[in-house]
Amino acid sequence: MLRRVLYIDLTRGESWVEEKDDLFEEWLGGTGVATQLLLKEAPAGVDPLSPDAPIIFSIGPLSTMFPAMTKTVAQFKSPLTGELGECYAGGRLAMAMRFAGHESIVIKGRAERPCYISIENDNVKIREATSIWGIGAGRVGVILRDVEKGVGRRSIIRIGPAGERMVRYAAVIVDTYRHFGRLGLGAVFGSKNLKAIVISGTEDVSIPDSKRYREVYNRIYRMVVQTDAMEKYHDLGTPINVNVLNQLKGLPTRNFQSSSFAEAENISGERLAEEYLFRRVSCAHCPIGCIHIAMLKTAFTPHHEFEVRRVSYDYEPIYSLGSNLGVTTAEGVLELIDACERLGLDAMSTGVVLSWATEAYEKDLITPQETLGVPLQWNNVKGYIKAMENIVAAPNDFYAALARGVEFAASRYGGTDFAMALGGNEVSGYHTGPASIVGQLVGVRHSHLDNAGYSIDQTAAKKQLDPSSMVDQIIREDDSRSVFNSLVGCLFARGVYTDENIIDALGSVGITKSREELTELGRKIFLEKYRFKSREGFDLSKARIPRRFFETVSTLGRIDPETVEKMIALYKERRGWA
Amino acid sequence: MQILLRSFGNLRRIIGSELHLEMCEGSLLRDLLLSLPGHERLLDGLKIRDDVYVLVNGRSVTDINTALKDGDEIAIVPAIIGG
Repeated sequence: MLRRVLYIDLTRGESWVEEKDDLFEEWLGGTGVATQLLLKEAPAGVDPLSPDAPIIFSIGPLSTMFPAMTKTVAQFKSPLTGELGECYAGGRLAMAMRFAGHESIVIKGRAERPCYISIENDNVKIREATSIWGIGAGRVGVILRDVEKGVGRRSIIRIGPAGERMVRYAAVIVDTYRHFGRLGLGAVFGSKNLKAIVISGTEDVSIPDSKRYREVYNRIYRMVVQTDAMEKYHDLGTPINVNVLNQLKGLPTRNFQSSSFAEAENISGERLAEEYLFRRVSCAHCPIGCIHIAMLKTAFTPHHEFEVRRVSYDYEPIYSLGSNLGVTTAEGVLELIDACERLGLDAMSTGVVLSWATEAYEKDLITPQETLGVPLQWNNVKGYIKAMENIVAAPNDFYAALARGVEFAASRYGGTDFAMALGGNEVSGYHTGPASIVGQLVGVRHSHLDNAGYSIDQTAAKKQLDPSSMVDQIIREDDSRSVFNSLVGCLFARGVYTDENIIDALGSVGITKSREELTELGRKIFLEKYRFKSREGFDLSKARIPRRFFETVSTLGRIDPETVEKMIALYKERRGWA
Repeated sequence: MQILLRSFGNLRRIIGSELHLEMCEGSLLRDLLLSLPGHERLLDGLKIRDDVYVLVNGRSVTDINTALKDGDEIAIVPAIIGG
């Protein structure tokens, strides 16, 4: 097993590899290892956009060797929240890192001029990128595919103009259809004058007991493809949630002013699949095909024919750029997702920022002079695209404020009661109940994926769950996901990777872990992440909860602020922080 | 009595998106569910499956012996999916 960390210093133009057996032995891989590297490499209190702030990528011990072990974790100090930055992407990156022989990559420093990094095994070149600076992420991928080696075994990750201009929620686009979307990794790339990374390799992976490996592999593969455990992700995919949440009164609409949307059917997974879906693709080494690609056909120019754009869609962008902006057509939503891709913006944060701005504009907190005449109105797709371009170009203080996220913008212009962020991160698309709010608030990256609080609320819609058992479930998910994210598997497959299957899979590649050891490791990794968060200033006691959450009916009815406060107090008590 | 039934997500392919059903007076929710094609995707014995939600006039119902009445609107919804 390769347990190597590739270090790249952009200031000095140097790279080197270090063997880190002890690190991987103790922290398994993925997020466990990345957290340790971040704690070590990021100086306390570092400016997230300074040369001293590192970027860490990590894969896990099962990456590319088992189905759906497809993700790579990125860690950094978030320029959006000022504390832990962490996000995950699929595509081909985990495979390419495995082939290149690096389980982790640490990037530090700042290049003097725009650059991209080309990695082929241990051979690292820092190349001039002035000619591709300012170009959209899609086009950059096309150019680098032509000039770089490694066809079929490589990954190309890159930023768009939003990253170059350090919009605090700029994304990194991974192999066209996947993203390190959240918390501003794209801005950190931009701060380092780093436009892209191309990585490929030819390393082999040795398996200590190939017979055992094949047995375990086949068992897990069968569970993935022959049971209904993952079928739903292939079929309609997560956009199924649009109609589901709309029926359950949990679909955030017009900046959470409502939890159901009269036009939900028009932007639903069912409608998209019937009228726009033209293919599904998979990440490398996943048999599912959950990435849904729509064909968006638009008039090219007058007297010419049509332009066809391929737009990948998931539930979260449909919520943030669809129902939450009152957009009533699938074309409108796809146009907005496509604009985010072109500019290199995180779709979730962008949608929440624009929904706050729309409501603030309605309430006269913002003037037409500040919007530069751009009509910020629900369902005005063209206006929203112009506003996105202005967020990136930052022609005045207002758009510069929007580029710093909804928390910052509301602190300048007012409207904090409806600035929908938790822990400084724009919220996800579930107005399901108290577990969703508490889960995102206490989660290490303030994401619904930290502990799936929405799922706990959904269970509570059927059977009584008291705040105490909700908190216990959040803690269990926090910790168990810390282990799964150290393997860096796709969370869609977490039902397949039971404790037993994880232990067997690790055993088949020569890593012996007991259930108790994994449970303890999950708890330790979680606490290590909180060590970083606390060190950088996050204080759960001071975290703001927008009042809007308590004003709008949710799946579980009106949410009582006292219930949420009680759950946070219980959470702190059970973590030993009270 | 007339019942309007809507289904969503993957269930739509089996049940249909919108059905106008004529039911006998005194019918229970179980009678309706058992009459649907693919009802094994909805019921686990005589309980609604954990991954299915049945809403009667917008309210989640778990008791399949719930009495139906003329004009009821029923939604059959799969569970939220995600990471």
